[in-house]
Amino acid sequence: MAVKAPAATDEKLYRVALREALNEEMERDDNVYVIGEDIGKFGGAYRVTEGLLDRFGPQRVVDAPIAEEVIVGCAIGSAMLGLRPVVEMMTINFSLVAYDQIVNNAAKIRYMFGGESKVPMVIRMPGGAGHQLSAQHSHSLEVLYGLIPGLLVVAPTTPEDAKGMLKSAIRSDNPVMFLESMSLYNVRGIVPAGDYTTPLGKAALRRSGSDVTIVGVSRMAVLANEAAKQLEEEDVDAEVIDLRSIRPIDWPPIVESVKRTGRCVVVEEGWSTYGVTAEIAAGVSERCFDYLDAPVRRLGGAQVPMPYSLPLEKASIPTSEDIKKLVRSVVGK
Amino acid sequence: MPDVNMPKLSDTMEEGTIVEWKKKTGDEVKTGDVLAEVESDKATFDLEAESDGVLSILVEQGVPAKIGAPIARIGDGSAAPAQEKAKAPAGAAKPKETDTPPQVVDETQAAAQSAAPAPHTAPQAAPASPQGGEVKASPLAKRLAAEMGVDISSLKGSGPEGRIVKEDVLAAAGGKISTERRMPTAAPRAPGPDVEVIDPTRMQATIARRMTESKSTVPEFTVTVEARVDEAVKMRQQLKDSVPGAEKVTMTDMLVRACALALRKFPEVNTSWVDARFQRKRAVNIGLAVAPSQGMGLLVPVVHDADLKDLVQISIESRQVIERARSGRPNEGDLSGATFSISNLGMYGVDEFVAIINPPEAAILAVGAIKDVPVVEEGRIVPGKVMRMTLSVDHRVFYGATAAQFMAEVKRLVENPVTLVVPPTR
Repeated sequence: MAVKAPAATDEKLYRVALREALNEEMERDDNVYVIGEDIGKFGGAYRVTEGLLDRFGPQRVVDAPIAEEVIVGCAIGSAMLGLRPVVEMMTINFSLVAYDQIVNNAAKIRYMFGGESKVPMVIRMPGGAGHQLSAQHSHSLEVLYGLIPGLLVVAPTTPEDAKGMLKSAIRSDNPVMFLESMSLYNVRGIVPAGDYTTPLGKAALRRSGSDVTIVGVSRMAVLANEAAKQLEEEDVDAEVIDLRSIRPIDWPPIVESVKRTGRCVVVEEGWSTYGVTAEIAAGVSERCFDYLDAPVRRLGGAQVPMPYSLPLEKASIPTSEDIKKLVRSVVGK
Repeated sequence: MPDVNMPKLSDTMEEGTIVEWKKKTGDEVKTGDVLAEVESDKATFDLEAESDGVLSILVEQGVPAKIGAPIARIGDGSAAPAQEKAKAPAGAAKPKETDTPPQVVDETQAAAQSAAPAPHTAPQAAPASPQGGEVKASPLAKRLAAEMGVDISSLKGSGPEGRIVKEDVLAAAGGKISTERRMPTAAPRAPGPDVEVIDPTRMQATIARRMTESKSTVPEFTVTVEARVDEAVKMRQQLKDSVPGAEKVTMTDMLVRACALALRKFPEVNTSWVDARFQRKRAVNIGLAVAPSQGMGLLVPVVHDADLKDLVQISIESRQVIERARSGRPNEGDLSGATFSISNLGMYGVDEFVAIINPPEAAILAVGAIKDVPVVEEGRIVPGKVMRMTLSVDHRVFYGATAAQFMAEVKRLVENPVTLVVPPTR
């Protein structure tokens, strides 16, 4: 009966969990290296790669010029020859410069070479708004990668997942788009010490409930959880699923949940038109039609380029209040 | 039963009007007979019968009908023409109101299409009609209504936007048919693998390893006692009511205090077997097995130096350490250093159980629920409160007699709870 919890478990920042994963994987496998802008001497724009240069040297911690297409092209080539590059894009916004490399090369090479070559590459990149970085630096572009066969696309929301999923991503033989969130870097949470991996491709049940299933994408899963907690007071028992994997989508737990609750709300920070929520809502409608007691509803960011003005920016990003409102509308309260 | 449809009399014609029926419903007609005079946008034509039979008129004189729409039928006379004809007057009442009365035409078509296979399916087709009679119900409500034989069109929706939802159907079905009873036959198990493979959390993996290690290496025996706890329950209430700061003292807190005192008296229990030698611990640190606030698992926050603390201190400290552990923010030492553990499942109504020792501790106390039972006191049966406690013992560390004496001491302390509130001795 009585057992101690693992004593070495303790609470860490999301960014520190990522750093631990990089350190441990680079220690474990000499083929792992990191490349990106300002990741070496400067330690990374979000301090994720701090200390790596001192520990592993410039050969494995490569400060690259400001040329995303070159960075990703370099990573793809080296991955095809057996290395395991971990690219840091300063933000997901800059990855658009490398979109051709990612979509036309990284995602397709294994297929087009009949499996004889592969691209075991990870591209880490933060997205999301909320920091007054304005229209060109506040994107949530999950869907741009989610629609490309050949890519794995994940968005961890807890420090524990950040570390475990980054390790899985580095060990994966396929290109993984590892979508971080600027707003989650300073989130604290329990991170088991030492080596562990969290599987890619799996959603996580964050909260059990019987009235409605809220599926959250990236940071919105965190807000969905907050909303669900607050809805308890209104006698609404919400279940929360953190999508975690944008490609592939882990349907079984979502379907099982919606069949049980009969209602579904999907939330993302990005634009919901043609968005991740559109895909989830369509899939839920197809799979759970006869179990739905209300239309599947979805919530995304305002359909505008992100405003610089703080009040306007706030108004453009979904809040837990918005989620609560939408949930009320489907449960009829 | 062939339909007589509104013919297309010119390229630009979209609808026509019966100027005059030359035959009546019920008339015998032959191929080539003039049935009616029809007016198109350009001219007036005679409409001839294309088969033999009994005429039944669907669209009255003066009512426009779209080309292709049935305006009459020629049958064997067995159909009930009155019923079919009934629809026409509804449209006829307002012939000039719209240029196309789709309701009349569409419903007639729907009726005509469903007439042959099963006339009684017509009402089910109604909700699909783009006009009027649509039932606003969730897919789930529709499915349940069909399964339970509830006429969904008779219900009033209580859901958002007046939608009929599951609860409305269940309410209509009444208590007689519960979904629980119906669902198993109605809804097959959701498709999926028969066995779901789940990765353990780090905590769960550690528990699995430690418990296996304990069960396979520790020669264990158990001793159970039942204690009267009427006094302890009473004292707890008194503390709650009248001692500031002691409002939250629990039965577990009292057990921590009782075990701490008993461990001081029997140091051989507060001992570990390590490398074939006894390690007798000076500190009395008591671990409390608790469930984490999220997910499956087990945490054992520790009250350190429990023998040096009074009951209220223990109560406050155990509450804090449990809270820190459950919130996932333990302080250093919160989860380590226990020399003895208590696992209380009383709050779940468990009578008694046997806990697995957490090495290197030598014993763990498993506590059951407080129960109201008849007890014999001086030859008379009186109501009493009892609680069962089972000690699991590492037989390498101490033996049956010691275990029995230790439990007797715990029982004595719990049954005489005043011993638990005297200040600790150093």
